[in-house]
Amino acid sequence: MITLGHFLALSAVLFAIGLFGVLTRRNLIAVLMSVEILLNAAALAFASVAAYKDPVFFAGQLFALFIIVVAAAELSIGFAILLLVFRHAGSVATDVVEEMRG
Amino acid sequence: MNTFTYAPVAYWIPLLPFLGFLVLALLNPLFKGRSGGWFATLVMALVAFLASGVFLEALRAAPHWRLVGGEAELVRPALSGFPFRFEWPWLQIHGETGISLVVYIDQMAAAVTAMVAWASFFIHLFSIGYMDGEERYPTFFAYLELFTAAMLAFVMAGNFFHALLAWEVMGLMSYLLIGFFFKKASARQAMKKAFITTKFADLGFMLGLFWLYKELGTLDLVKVAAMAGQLAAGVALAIGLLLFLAAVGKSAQFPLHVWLLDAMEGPTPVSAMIHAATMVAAGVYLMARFYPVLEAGHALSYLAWIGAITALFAAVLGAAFADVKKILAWSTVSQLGYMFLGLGVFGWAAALFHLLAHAFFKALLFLGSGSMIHGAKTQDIFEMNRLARYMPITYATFLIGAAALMGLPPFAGFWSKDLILHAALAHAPFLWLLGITGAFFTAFYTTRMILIAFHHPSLPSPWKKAPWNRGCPALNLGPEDCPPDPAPPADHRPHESEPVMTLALLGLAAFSLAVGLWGSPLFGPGLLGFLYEGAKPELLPAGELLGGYAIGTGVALAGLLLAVGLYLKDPLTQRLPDPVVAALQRRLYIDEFYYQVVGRVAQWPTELLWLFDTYVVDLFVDLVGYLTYVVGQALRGLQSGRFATYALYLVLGALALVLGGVRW
Repeated sequence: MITLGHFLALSAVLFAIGLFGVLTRRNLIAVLMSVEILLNAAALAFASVAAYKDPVFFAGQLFALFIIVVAAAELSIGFAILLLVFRHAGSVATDVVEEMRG
Repeated sequence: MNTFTYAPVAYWIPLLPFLGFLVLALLNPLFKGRSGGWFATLVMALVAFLASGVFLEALRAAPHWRLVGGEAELVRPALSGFPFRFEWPWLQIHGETGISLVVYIDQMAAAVTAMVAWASFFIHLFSIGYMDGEERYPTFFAYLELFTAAMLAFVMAGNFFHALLAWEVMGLMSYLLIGFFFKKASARQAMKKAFITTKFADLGFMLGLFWLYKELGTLDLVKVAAMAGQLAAGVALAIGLLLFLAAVGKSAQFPLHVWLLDAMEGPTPVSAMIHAATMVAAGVYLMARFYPVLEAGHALSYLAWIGAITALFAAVLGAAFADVKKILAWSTVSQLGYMFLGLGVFGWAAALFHLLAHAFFKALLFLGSGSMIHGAKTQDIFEMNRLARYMPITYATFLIGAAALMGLPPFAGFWSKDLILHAALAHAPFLWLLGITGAFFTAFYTTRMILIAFHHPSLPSPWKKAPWNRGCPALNLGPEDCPPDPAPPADHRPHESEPVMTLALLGLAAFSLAVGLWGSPLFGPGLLGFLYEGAKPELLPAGELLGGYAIGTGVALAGLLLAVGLYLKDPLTQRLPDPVVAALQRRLYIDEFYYQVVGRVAQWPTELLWLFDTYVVDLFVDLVGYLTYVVGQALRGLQSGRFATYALYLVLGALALVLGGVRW
């Protein structure tokens, strides 16, 4: 029997993978992909909690939908920035944006 | 008619020139050509009109003395509302009025206000022509306006605290105006000298007021006058002397007279302003206002002594100078000495009369000297070329002013100075002797100045090459910082000044004559009977004064004749040995003593404070800066600029929040 715990564990694993990706990948495209994994981990947690604990309103599933929309928007902006970085520096490695300090 | 038209709006008298100052200062670039001068003069005309209205109403409403069958009798008009008084709450603490803003106009204030307004009006009018073509022309008039506003506010102040504020504004304006030509090193030094000297004296004003407030709980003129008797004699003496110190500084009395000669670095109308209408008159006025406390503390003899010494000393020095403005400056110091002498020997009304008369004739003389300088292109009387021939109006008006200064009947100074000397003879014969000797020298230096400047052709000035000629040592400057002014070409033909300037001279001459005659016993108690309400004035019939008049006239004539005998043929006559003349021209080394000795001695405690500042105060400040720097250096490693590092901080922060949240 698949319990809520299984879903939440999967969500946690996905979150950890995404976090690891964000922190370690040196390619900005890979970083953006990792961010997607993070968002999906959250969406999965919301949806599963809704299914198990809130069978009447499924409010959590609404959040999952929101997250998908926000993820799409975030990705479009993220890629736009990435394109500009590429044009500016000729590369999409995280090293090229090392000027983020005062 | 029982109502007043002008008195209820009297507080506009100082406000109007202040507004004029604001307009001139804020819209400075809009005033092209002479428009700034005309604007300021129009404002002053309005002020003079208003002040005259208030004065005439005071004249109508005030109690005054009349001679009825040879006896003085106080006549009280059936008019209420005098003295005029306005009060606004100010500086309130918990609803209790600590100090209110009070405008108070009694006889003395009304008379001096009218005098200041008219004298200042004529000085403004004169400056339109005199300052023509100078840089910062509107700024000059803005300063003049604020200067006048401060003096008017001071005269009309009904509260010593309020008076102190106006007094300080006056100090600032004299600083700015003396240094108006700040491109000259000597002008810069002179402005500092004037400011520091008067500021040192003002310390006495402040301390005196603090003490007075502690003793009486009020600084209101009327209340202080009423409560002065409650002060312990020693306390009243100390407070009186503290305020006297302020007056000595402001009115340039010995030993704080040093700033006044160098104030001549300012434009000539400023000298007229400082010496006649404002500034120096303020010191005498303050003492006249403070009279009850001075009397309670028996401080008057100090005034009399300082005044008499200054009157004689300055008159003697005046005879040794060649710069027409400096001669007049010495005469101001000397005449102010007479005023203090008058106050000190209970000649309160005589001193005020002399203040009013002196204001007009000295403004006249200074503006006359401005006209001479304008026409002759030099300040040195020896270099002036027969001005009487070329400048008839200036000459005629200057003679009127000079006759008043010398004390020749029937001109203003004759009546006022004689009253002072009369009072001195009654109370302190030795001081009378000093005063009458001063009068002799006054006549001497005035005649010398007129003969050399107006009647003799241009000559090479004998002392011009002397290194102290322009006051270099007195200003603590080397000779290279104040080179002598270039002499005009030998064939320079002076010209009479333009109508705005001569008009001002004529107006002041008329006022000087009128004030003198009004104060004379020829017309009964007149001005003096108006000024003096408190106690029965010594309204002597002309006959009783005749002896004094004869002596005064005789001494003045003796001085005049001596000068004529010496200088009519040869203006370069010099009977005193060179070192003596040099010492006189170096002002008896008093200025140099201040710079070299007092200045240096005063520097020692300053050096100690400097050490404290550097090694204690600065140490703390530096330490704060250094700590911030060290911490910043240590933390700057955290800011790698790498996006992944920041993301890690984000995660760590989130973790900390979550774990912390769990614990709470």
